[in-house]
Amino acid sequence: MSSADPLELAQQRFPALDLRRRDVLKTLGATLALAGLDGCAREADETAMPFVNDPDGGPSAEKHYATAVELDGIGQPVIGICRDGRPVKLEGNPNHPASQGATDAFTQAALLGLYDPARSQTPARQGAPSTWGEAEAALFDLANQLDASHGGGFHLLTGPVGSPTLLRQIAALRTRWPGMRWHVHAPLAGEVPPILMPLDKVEVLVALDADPLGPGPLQTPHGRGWSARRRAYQKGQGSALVFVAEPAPTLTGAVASERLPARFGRIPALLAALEQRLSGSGDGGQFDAREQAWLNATATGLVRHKGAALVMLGPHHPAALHARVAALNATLDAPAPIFQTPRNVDAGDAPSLVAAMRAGEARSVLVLDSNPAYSTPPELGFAQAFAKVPLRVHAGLHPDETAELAHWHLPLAHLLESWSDARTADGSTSVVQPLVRPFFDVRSRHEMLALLAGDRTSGRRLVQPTWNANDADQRWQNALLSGVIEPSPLAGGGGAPSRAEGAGPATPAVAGGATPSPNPLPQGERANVGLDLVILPDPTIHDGQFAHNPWLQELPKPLTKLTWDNSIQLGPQLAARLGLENEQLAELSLGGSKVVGPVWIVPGIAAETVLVHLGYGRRAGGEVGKGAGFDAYPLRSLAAPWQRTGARLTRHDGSRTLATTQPHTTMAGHDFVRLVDRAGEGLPKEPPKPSMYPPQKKTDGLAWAMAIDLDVCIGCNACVTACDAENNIPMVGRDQVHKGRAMHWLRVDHYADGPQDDPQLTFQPVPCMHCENAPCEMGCPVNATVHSPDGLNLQVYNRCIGTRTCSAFCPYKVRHFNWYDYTREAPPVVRAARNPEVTVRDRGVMEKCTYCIQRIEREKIDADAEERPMGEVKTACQQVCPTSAIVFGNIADAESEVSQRKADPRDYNLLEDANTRPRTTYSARIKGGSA
Amino acid sequence: MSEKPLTSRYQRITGEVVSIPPDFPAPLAWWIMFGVSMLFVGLLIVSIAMVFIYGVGIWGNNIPVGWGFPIANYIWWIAIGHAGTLISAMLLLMNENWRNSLNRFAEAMTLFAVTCGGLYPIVHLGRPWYFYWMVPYPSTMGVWPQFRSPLTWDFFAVLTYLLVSLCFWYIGIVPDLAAARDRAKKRRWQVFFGIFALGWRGSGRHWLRWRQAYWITAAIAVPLVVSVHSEISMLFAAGPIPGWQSTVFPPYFVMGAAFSGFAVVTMLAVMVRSLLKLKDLVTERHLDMLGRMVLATGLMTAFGYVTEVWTGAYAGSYELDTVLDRFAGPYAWSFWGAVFFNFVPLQLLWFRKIRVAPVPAFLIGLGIAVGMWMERYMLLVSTLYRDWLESSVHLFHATFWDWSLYLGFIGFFLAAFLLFVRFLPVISQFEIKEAIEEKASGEA
Repeated sequence: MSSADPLELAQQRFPALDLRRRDVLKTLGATLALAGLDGCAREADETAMPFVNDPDGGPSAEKHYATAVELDGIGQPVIGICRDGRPVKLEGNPNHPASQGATDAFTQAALLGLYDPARSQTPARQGAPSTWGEAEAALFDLANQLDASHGGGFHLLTGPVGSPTLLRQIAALRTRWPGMRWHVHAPLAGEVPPILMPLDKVEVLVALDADPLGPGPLQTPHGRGWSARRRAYQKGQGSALVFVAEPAPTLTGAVASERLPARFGRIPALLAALEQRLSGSGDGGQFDAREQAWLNATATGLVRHKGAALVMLGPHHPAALHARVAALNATLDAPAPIFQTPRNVDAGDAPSLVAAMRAGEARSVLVLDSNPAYSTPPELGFAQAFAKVPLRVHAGLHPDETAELAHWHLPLAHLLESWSDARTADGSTSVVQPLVRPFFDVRSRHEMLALLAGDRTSGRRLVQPTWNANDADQRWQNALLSGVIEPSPLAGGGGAPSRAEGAGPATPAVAGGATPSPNPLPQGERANVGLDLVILPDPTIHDGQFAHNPWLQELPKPLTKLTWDNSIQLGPQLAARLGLENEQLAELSLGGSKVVGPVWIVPGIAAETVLVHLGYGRRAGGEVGKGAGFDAYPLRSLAAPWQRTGARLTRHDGSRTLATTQPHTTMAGHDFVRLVDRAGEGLPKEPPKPSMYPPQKKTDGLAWAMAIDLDVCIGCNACVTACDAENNIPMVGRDQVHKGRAMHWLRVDHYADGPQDDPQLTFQPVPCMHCENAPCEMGCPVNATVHSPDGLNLQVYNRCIGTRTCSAFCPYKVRHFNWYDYTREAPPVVRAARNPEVTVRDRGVMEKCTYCIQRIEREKIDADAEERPMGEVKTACQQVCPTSAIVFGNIADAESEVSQRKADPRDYNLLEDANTRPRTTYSARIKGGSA
Repeated sequence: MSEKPLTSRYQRITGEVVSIPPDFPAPLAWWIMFGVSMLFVGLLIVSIAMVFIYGVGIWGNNIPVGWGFPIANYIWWIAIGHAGTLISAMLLLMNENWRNSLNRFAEAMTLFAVTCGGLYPIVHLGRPWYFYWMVPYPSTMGVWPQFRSPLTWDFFAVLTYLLVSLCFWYIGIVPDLAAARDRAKKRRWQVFFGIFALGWRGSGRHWLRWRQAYWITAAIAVPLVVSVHSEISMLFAAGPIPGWQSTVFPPYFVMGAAFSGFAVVTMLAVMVRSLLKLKDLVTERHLDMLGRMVLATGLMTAFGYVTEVWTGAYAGSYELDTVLDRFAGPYAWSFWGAVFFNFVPLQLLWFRKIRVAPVPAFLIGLGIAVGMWMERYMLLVSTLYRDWLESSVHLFHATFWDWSLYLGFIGFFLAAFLLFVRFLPVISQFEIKEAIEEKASGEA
């Protein structure tokens, strides 16, 4: 078995395979394989089920598949759209409760991860290319040894596992090899696992250093829930208040009615004060005026909305505090959680693996889709301990830091090209079906574990047993169509966890062996021992797993608008005291570890607090992320991975230019983001000013327009990434962004106005305004930007000669220019990811938001063909938005949602003074309202 | 005054001017200057090749500052050209005879400056090979230029201006070319001048036609100065951008153009005078008159500055933001630099002694050329980098290739001018003689 001929193996696994063709491909290598992507040969697995039936089956037919991707082991249900057999876009699954059609930015960018040219393509043995034959031989050898030793000395390290099939497989392995041990390395896990809360039922949300609306696996369902409540409040039902106390600004903090910048050491005191006020046993200690005000408002709100009030505490706070929060929520009669993602309680953690490796007990280690060599703090000594293991196998998508240390690196399949399953944030389960056959000779994670057990069964056959299903099974087919699979009543033995399991405990389970954070400092005391250090996952590249994804690297961070870098962030006062300014290098040291990075001043960070983001400073795994940012993992300790005290920040020689898309974050006395005091209040309507622009031709009954509700925008960037994917927006790299040449058609402006230690944080997505009196159209000498009768401001790429007058005359500066040839040099594999319905723009041509004209035209054509009036058209940004802040439609139809939004008294034009009569308008943000 | 001395004076003037090409008075200085200029022409060729190969991304332009050096320099060059037309055509129509020593090279300056200026917007295009789409030709697709655009009219204006300037200059030089032909001793000079003299024999009918053509062209050229630069100002003023959208722009730009043009004519007059040893043809009186013109147009331009600031202050809000940002923002150097170089040394021109002294006149002219460049930079960059939304603020930094293209065009201008000086009659000899004749007959 161990010396099996790979060709023979392949023949067994793929009986239909033409081996000669395969040989040719192998010889010519990956380039040809990638070039082949442009063809239409790469249909999805023949047993995958298109979500929508394929009408004509022609070569350019569009197929939709319900599937899922994962973030931190939590499934993100999506509909994968394939054109010409290539996945070109992911949309949220509208029928899935955890998505309701929306996704976050990570999920949008997962598509580009599939096409990542840096992905591993063949197995590697000690860095040298090898074959699956040899790799399988090695694995089968290992299996034989483990059979003999009952698994003794074998350790499996994974990320957090939610996939029922993976859990079933691991359980089966452990049954077979009782001596093996399983470890979960979850660099972003807190003290309690993620809990999905029904925010749509919460009138008063108190977030104590918690960020339910922030980036992460729960952002989409939380955004959906919160915005539903907020929208009801806009109509006068309820309050939808959010009170936030936090050391560093978050997206939840940005939408808060009352935000209190508080050092993290104050969180327990604030919690205690809330407890005392609610129980009527006093006001709980010494607080300054600002804290008092916040506590008064918060406590009043909580009391008034008992039954619909909820306190959330950041998951990184110690379990003891969480228990107190749970008790408080119980007294408040708070809505019960929808689902708490269970921990892999039967797994050890990374430190226990390191201990076993150090002790020499670990004889063989398989690291499955995890990168501990990068994402553990150096004090753990993972790399050194790992080097002692006699057999080190790494299976992953990239030749990353851990792969470099392993004997074997085995390429894993991306989820979008695999059969698998996933558990979503709400506890339901989804089948993951491949959108396309694997681009490379790779194995899915299930195939990987099966190979380990000496089993060459292919993907689908490994997933189906979990659900006690087969291809002919109606339940299975329904699951593939809908994206949700219910555990079979017969599946008890199959190992699929039932939904009830682990659902909604009022007191969260605490991971075994986790040390609680050191007790935080009371205010004032020991102020001279140093600064508070807050460590967060990066808002766009997360724990570092997306460092090689250009869409996410170039995605401006919501609160700094920085791209391609992380930074040492601190408030203006602290920066002034330390003599630091933006881009100045500084040395941040804590204990024995120190990092050097550029400083970025962020209004709203609490006093004496420094914020850094994880995920940068990648040393391997691809070229895209190399040289970007600094690695913040060394600043973590095992005991306190998220928040530490006693940090020192000193000026370091030199500076590093940072590429931001928005250098100024104040409104400089203007009111770009307009605010009203309470729901129901409107803005004064100005009568239209006279204009010398000639009237435009208009189509009867069709006038496209957009309305963006700033009151529910959480600045999550999902729209920006969706626009990148839909419209083939080129990524231009750090230097070009720094020059002011980022190409995002839709940007999310962020303002931090008011006092710089406690600013009003606002977001404002800015696409093209499609002005009725468009200065760009007047400026263009060659008619390359013209108005359509249905109200679109069109850009005619092949007529554009690149005078850039349109951009000079645009008051909103939403136009973007192809300064260089940004598209032709893209690797073939990245070109394959492009949306074939959208033209790729050439050098020297202006481009901008089109209101997704390709979607409008498609609906127009379909409506024509079916002889019906045009139906609803959704732009990519609208479709993805988890809070439905963006609405697009026909304002000639008074019943349309966009017309209703525009009829809202909060509706206003951005830059009314410019008199451009924009078709994109905004709904003013509602300041807060009162409890 | 008798016939004889006058005739011999005419002959001397003719000889002085037409003998320059075959018997150049300062070959070494000319070769040094020409060599240096050609180095910059080489840089120009490389810079343009770089732009065509890699795209306009090699410059510092970005969003919001989509226009950078090319448009600022375009305005600067075209503006310089205007003084040539004003001196030649306007003073001709007004019978100001002192122009006759200056008009020929001032017209040449116009031609070369307009060429540099006219090439800039084409090089600056994202897709320069399609520049002809601005021409209203009956294309098979039935697409026309967009006639509301200031750029379309810019294109027409600059093209018209170039053609009219060329005609005017050429019509003016024909009699002198004939004189040069008649006096040339070497065959190649005879052929060269002979071809371009178009068979001029100096008959009365020739002179009659010539005078009609010359005056009509002059009458066309003078209003063009006003219309071309007013039109160029629309490039800014038509956009709804604070700091641009102002009705003061057309006259402000025309005055600025004349101002910078006279400054450069002064520089060239000083240069021609000393290089070609023509001190008795380009006299102190000419420098004096030029100094007065510079002073007058300079003060009018200064009034434009005041008006602009006042308009901004009166409008308030975004307009005032822009004005204040010009005073103290990141591009304040360009505003204060423009104010200083344009208006501070200018005050010295109130004194005749300074006006007629070649070196101070040259330096003041140079200062104004620099100052007016700063003004264009300030008007363009400080407006665009920060227009309406604070979120779209982004600084502009020029790159090596911005500067190299600019220096390259300056080299091209100098090289062309030096070639003109070397090979063609730099001064309109027959008009000087006419002026002397008229003066003499007036006295008689």
